[in-house]
Amino acid sequence: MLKNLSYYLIFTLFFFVFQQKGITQSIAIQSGGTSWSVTVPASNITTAGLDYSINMTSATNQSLMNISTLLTYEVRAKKQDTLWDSRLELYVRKTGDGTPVLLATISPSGVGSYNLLGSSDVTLFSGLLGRTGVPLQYEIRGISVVVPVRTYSTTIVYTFVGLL
Amino acid sequence: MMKLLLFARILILLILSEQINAQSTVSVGITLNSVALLKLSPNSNSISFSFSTPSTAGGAITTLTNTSKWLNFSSAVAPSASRRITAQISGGTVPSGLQLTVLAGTAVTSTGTVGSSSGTVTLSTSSNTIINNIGGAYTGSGSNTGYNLTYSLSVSNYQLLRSGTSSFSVTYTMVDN
Repeated sequence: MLKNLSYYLIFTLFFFVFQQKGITQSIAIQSGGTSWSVTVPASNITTAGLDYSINMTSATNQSLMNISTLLTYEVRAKKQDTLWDSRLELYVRKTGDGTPVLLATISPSGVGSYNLLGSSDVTLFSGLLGRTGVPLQYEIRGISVVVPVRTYSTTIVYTFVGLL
Repeated sequence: MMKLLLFARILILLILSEQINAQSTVSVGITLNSVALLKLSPNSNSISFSFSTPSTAGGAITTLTNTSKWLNFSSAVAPSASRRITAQISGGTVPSGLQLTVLAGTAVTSTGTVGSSSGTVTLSTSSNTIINNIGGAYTGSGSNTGYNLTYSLSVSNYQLLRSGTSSFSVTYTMVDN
């Protein structure tokens, strides 16, 4: 009898944890922030002979990220290129903490450092419990006249990793 | 009881080892536009040539040269595209009996596909290519960077020489190939 009860309790705990995790673990970019595109102004070159002296930077809240979790977590990012020139460097950083649920934590807090995105994940921030509206900013560096004239595109993939 | 403990351990390991992944994406685009900027350094002020009288009767008139001007440019082109720089006489003509040539040297302190010189080119009222196959490049701005221009004014036909003063311009243009 005691044995059966123990099995029952363990199964209950097992399904509770997994059910909760299935329901609550998510990451989402709020609508309106799912794309960012820019055109480099040729007028930035003030005189013949010079290269661009500009980085293209998005609004500080270009994307707002919602995180829903009951766990500790990491948010990682990488880029998947559609058409990209390796001389163009894409950076992302968080510029704030958004709105936390009760007792939620986030690290680093406030404005983070720019992270260079590549084909492998880099960790942007980590935390405990969910929050909404974490602002993200993008920057493209390496803009030069030696980069062929065309439109380049890539996709930033944010990955939420929940950790027990 | 042992089975129960084993079962519990397996469940705990499953829970501890699990990572929950979820993803979201943002698309990013950047457009680079064509750039074609060209100038003379240190300035576009005129240069003057004045032939000296030969030191002895029967002597030749010495060819005059000037290397004070530099061509600076910035160029951004589409993939596989290229440009050239042409020169032509405008706003007048070279006096009869004289020949004006220009030589774009080797590009210095420049970055990218800066093209190559066509060598010594005799200037006329028709456009002539002096630098070709320019891609995405920038030469730097100012003297001592980019292409140094060597002008040479020489007598081509003594029979046609007349004393006097003439002025004309040399127009440089960066064009798509």
